[in-house]
Amino acid sequence: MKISPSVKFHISSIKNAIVVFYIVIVATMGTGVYLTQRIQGVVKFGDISFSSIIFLFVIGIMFFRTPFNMLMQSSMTRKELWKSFIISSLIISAFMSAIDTIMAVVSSFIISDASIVSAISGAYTNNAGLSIINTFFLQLFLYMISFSSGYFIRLIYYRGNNLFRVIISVFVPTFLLIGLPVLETYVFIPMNCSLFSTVDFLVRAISPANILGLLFLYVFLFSNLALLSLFNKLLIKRAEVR
Amino acid sequence: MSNINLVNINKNYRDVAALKNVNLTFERNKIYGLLGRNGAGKTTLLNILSNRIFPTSGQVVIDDKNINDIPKQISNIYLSGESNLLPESMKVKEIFKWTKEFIPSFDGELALRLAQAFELPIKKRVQSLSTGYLTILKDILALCANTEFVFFDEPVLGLDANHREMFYKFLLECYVNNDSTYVVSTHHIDEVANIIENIIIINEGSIIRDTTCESLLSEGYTISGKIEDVDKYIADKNVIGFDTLANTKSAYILSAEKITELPESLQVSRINLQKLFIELTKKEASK
Repeated sequence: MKISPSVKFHISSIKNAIVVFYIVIVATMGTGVYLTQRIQGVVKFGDISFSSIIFLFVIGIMFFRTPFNMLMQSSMTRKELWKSFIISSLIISAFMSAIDTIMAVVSSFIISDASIVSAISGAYTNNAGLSIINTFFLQLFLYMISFSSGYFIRLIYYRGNNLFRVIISVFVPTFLLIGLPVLETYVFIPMNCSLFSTVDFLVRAISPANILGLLFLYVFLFSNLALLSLFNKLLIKRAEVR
Repeated sequence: MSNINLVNINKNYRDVAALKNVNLTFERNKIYGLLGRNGAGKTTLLNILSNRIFPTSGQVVIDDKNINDIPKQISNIYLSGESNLLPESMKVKEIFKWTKEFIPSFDGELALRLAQAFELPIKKRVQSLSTGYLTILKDILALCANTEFVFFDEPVLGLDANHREMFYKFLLECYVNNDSTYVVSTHHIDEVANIIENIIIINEGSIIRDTTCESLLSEGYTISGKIEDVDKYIADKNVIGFDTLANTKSAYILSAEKITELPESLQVSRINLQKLFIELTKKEASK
């Protein structure tokens, strides 16, 4: 199998986007640090890892068409495409997680705000080294899930016909923004089983306050990632060139 | 590496049958002409052969194995398709570089030599190439791929006469130097008539001819001479077309029978492939 050139192609297709992303992040942080020292008051930063999650989701959406066409043109198979996507998303996510962890550690000397991921990862230990390693791996999983989710959505749109695309585009946001609250108010609460309370309970249940909770969290994230990868494989398997 | 076999291939787009029970064999080291009218199913057939789309039923077989997504089988096939799958923002030389990465048998030096011969600007991005030069780029990639089966879908689309002639010349060069099979799908029938050994004619999704060029051309002949002499001769013949110039006329006759009695004022020659193709596809269409 010719996975290696395919992985290289995948990575090179978004190399510039990653560089631009970090230039913007560093410039924003630099400006913030400069302002904290020049003006009175407090400058607060959003979460770098959260920005990366959104960035990778968008990249995931953009990541399918060009490599798919190029690989089909170059007599490669869909299986090779799927494998090279997984490997390249792992490499990109690991790289970005490492950069973000380093930036978070460096910026923590200047700014006291902790990121959401580092707050979660630091919950089960007071050891700074372990907390950093934990942050790296948590970010890695979250980045890969976000990346794969964007890819998954793109694949659904690619495989579906126009009617299906319209249904998904209208139904999913409508269900999340209107349908769920309506169900909660008129169905679940009258039945004394609040949907949002149940979700909140589940999130608390996987809180990484101890090593078992942390392991459970990793298993949960890995399961999500595996499921997304499986769906992606099934969608790629019968994808036709258009 | 043996032949490619298409076994009972059907392809439907909703209610439209693009291919109907197609059975074909592409043998090694030959040049095939795939001819058909617009919408006959040529592109669909080539896309199925190269694993870009899937048949509704049937299979493409190499060495008794279905090619469906098997890397070893797929890597023996290269299609220069009608639609552009190359990254628009990439430069021509980068396309060469990446193709070499993906296809180890790709001859990068030959690609550069051909680019120079065709005056293809290798520093230009794909998106800024004209239709003709984009076709040239795709042709060069296919000619240099050195895979065992190379398929061309409309390889002279947008090319001027000089470039078309160069393409045919390089195609023959590659054919002589390699042990590959080339399949050319085109509407320029007269131009490829002297290159191809085998002809496959597809009409409304069905294969209506799969034979050697010689055999197909023996299905008819051309009679030329003075108008009145030709008209007299063709009175009881199956004429599929004619051309007139001043007081001379050429009539294209469909008949596999040998010519026995021919007046001295008339000359007989091979039938024009394009005329024969038009007649064959017209007849099938009206059935």
